Amino acid sequence: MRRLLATTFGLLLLGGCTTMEPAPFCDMGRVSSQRALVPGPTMVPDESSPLKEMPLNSANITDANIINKLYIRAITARRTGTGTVEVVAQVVNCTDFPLNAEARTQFFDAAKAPSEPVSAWKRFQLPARTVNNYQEFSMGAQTVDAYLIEMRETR
Amino acid sequence: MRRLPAILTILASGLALAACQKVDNTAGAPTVYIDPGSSGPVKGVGIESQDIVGMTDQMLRDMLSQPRLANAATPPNVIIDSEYFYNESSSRLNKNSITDRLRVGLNRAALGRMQFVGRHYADMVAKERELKRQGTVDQATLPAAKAQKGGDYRLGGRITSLDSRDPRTGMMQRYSQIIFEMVDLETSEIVWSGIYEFGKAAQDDIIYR
Amino acid sequence: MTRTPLSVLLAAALLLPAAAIGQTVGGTVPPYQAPAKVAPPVRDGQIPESAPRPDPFKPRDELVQNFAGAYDRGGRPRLAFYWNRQLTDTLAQWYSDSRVVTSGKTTNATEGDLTLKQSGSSQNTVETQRRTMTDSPRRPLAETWEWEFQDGFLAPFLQANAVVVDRTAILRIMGAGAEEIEPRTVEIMALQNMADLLVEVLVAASPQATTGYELRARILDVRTGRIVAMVNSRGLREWQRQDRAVATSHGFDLPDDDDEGFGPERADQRYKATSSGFERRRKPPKPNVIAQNLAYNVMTGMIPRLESGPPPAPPVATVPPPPVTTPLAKVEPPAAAVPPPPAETAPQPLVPTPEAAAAKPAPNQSAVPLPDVDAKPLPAPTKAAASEPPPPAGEEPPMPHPTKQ
Repeated sequence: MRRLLATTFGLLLLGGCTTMEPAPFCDMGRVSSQRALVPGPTMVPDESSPLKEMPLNSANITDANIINKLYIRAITARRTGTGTVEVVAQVVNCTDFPLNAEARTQFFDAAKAPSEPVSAWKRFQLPARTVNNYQEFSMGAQTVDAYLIEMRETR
Repeated sequence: MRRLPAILTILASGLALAACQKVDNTAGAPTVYIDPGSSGPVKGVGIESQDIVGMTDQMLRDMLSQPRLANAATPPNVIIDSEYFYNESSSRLNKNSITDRLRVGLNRAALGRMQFVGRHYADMVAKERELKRQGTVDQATLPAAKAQKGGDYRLGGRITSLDSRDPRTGMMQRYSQIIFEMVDLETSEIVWSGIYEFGKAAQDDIIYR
Repeated sequence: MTRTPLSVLLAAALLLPAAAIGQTVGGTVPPYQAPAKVAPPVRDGQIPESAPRPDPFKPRDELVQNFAGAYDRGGRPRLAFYWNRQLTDTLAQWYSDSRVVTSGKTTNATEGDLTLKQSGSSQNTVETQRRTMTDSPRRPLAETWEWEFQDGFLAPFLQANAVVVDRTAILRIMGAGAEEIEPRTVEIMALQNMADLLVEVLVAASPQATTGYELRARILDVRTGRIVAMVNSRGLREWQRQDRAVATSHGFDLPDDDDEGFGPERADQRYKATSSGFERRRKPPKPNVIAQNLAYNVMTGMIPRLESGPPPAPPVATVPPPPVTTPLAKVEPPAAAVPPPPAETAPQPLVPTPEAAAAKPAPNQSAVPLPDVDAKPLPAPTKAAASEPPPPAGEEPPMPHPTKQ
């Protein structure tokens, strides 16, 4: 019984010595399990599309190199003073290393068709364990109804 | 139960066929064409195509979100050219590649929210107007105008850079800053500003022509 | 069998909230609502009516008419024009910079029964003479430019019906048959006998001027050497820089006090359409316009002198000198000073015609009132009768004549 108590006490002490990981802390196991792809547009009547994709109004990390390094914390969409749409994605660098990423946005109209040319790749830097924002404006105003952000690593 | 081997064979064949239809995730055919919006195989510390594409796209989208420019009761007349866009950087660059892309992108996206004045075609228009008024050519189909369009706003800007080099390693570093400003041509008020900046470092600078 | 669906439902219920929270799906785009249009900025909207800039180079007919009247009252003096040629102060065209005189003297004497003394001397003089190539070593001007300039300068004088004589012509006329006479003497003779006023127009290169050159005009009385009027382009109002701030790429530039730049500008500074937009043409006015403006200013300078009336007759003890008047005052010349007018009402020149001058050179017949100086025009040369001057006395031989070319 004494041995058991000593072992337990020693383990507790060891637990107290472990260094605390700085925030932000990304639980990638949960992130990957929560990804829910949606079927693409139907090409054949009464049959689902073979394409599985990210839903509209979301951000898609298309690069396997950073899919477990970055986490998109939130995406907001709002109208500007001219009626165009501004999307802002808050991107978290979950690693202890600086990262370079770039993203672009495709805006869609109410019929889920692209309403304008896709934006240019916009580069942003993410120092270790920081949050940076990716921001993009649409060109059109009343034609814009949805958006899709693509993100990848860049050099 | 005698049909079991046959069923298993059909199932195995189907699975094997299904495996053949997966994505062929290999590189495409090699080409000399590259995406101008991404870094190419030749990379230096100067302003490159992806920078021009990126900065002009960013600026035009930003301009279209400014109510004074893109939601005025009367669409303003805008002049976008390189006449007042100065390159004071150490990058060898044709300024027109920036201002032309900006003007074209804006004009295509504006859809009447702004009107664009082709000031760099002033001599062309003046010559045709002169020919019409001399009677050398007819009036064509559009009604005559009193004069060429004046500008409400005009693009100005500047490209600057800061270079540094490590003499031991030959490493080259350059910070480039490009600013864009729209100026009220009646009061010189700057009604919109945009900035695009980046820094690059490379072992040795490449030659830009 | 009842456990399996139960466990599946339980697992789904556990996963559902996690999926709802963790999915990086953003908010939907707010529906479009047309934003209120932006009104134009509040400004006075008034464009001040700027008065059209007066053109300092426009034709000035009124001045020409005034000059014509003063010119008539001043006795219609003949004007000889010197284009970019300055009257030199060198009297002779030839000059000598070395002269070597070698003298020798021999004496022989024989003594004895017969005494013979013989003496002799010899002298050899060698002198090198050079000829000044031009009267005024001024920068040559482009011929077409000179034509345009002379055209613009002479036009107002011809419009005022002034008597304009050509320098070359009077020189050739006066010097015909008198080739032996020093050309500069002939020149002065021609000026004194066939002209009354010398109008000397000089052009000097000047990088400070917008035109690239500066001008000076001087009017001389050929009989007395008196300067009647003088106009320098630097002093002309039309050549002064406008003291206005100039918009540049680094702001507004006020004229610098140390800036010595000056020069005429076109009043009509229109923008010209070019491939890079509209550009202002800042070219100076054309030479004929500038020359015309200079001529107007010369006329303005001459009018007060001409208004003083024709010169008096040679001073006589009984005739008082003409009263001193203000330059602009129009004073009728004293009757005693005016020669008897002809039958016609046309103004009678107070200066003699060449023929009259050749016959009887009248002293001091200046175009303007003169002080009491004893100035005589040179008589016209005796055509083709120039005799060799007698050798001067003395040991040295006379100066050789210039080599004929």
